[in-house]
Amino acid sequence: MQVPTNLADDGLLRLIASGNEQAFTALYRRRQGAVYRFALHMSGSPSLAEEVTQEVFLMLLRDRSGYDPARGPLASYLYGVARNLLLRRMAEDRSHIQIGEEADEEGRTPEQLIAHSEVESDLARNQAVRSLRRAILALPAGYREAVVLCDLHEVSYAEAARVLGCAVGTVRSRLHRARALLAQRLAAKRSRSSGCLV
Amino acid sequence: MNCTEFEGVVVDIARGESMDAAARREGEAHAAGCGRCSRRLANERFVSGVVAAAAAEDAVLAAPPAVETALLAAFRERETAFQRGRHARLNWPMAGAIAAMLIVAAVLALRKPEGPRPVGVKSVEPSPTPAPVQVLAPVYREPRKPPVRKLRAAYRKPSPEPNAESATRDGEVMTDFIPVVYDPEPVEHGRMVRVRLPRSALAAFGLPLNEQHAEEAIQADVVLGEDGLARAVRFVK
Repeated sequence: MQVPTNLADDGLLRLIASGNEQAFTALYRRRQGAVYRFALHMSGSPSLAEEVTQEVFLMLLRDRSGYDPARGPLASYLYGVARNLLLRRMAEDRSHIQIGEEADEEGRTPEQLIAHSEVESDLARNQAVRSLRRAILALPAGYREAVVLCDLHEVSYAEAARVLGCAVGTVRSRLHRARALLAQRLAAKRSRSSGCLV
Repeated sequence: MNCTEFEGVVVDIARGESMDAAARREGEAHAAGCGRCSRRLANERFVSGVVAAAAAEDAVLAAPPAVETALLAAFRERETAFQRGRHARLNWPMAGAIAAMLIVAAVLALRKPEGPRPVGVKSVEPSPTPAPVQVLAPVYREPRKPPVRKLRAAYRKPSPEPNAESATRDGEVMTDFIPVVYDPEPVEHGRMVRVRLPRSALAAFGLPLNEQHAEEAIQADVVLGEDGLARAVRFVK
């Protein structure tokens, strides 16, 4: 049976429940990218992201009734499952977070370090993106989740709150603090690479 | 708007988050007139720019194809197991129904002939070498001269032996007679027919069943009362 490409997640889940393999393939292809990227951004480990992605969809197969459409969209449910798996795995193996703290040794504030509001060139942007990835991985897990979901995955505050199981205000405050830390670390990196304060 | 209030909206302004238009205007106006908050907004916009660049770079990232292959294999395995389980689940009530239908079919088959009723038949023993019988075609065996008391005794008092296979005759192993319905009156006159039932019927009478052979047939002797109703059954191997 051909599965319509525009069929909503709930419709695909119903087909999957009746044993439709094409529906499972369609749902997997629709949602795997976000789950994989979330796991990768959170862990920095492609192999762990791969494992978590596989486990998330295996859980969906094993426990289809675990998802309740009334409690939110499937995407949020998948993020939540991935998050729980990641937290468990990262607690078991701390080596996945390999990036250390990059505090500014001289205690300078971002305001002192950053004056430019744009990324001037591709080279500078690539460098900044690399720095950002390292800085995100160095964030405490609670802050990292907020940045990854709200900034990298453009999930709304409300949906992020559902995934993280906390209040919207908590998500907002974590995101603010996380971004302040990111700004500080990016500024430190910029100042080190340019060799001067701007 | 003062600097403290500006701190509450600076991230949302930099991220382009949907917010109250008046608050956005006030925040931007404050930043325009406050050097510190202006730099603060610039910092946040810088972070947003780098984050957007990272997100755009990562948009193409996906799990390797091997993950999809493994998941599809798991899906097929699960579906196969599910089908097998559903088949097994459906077999039990169906087997019980088949057993009941066979007994009723046997009764009806024996009641159809309008010829002279057999007279003086006390009870019947199965022939020493019963011919194979089709599932839906119970066979009527010509009655011999069995001792009625023996049948009654067997019907009323099951053997105390723990093993249900208690009687052996002519190379056949058979269970004791098991009452099909409760009947306070002993069977004085009746007939016995041999039928073939699914092995799962054993379970319906509380006998052990090897599930691996549940689909196979087993022979059974059904005792019919004068009214044609099944009174007892025993299984023959």
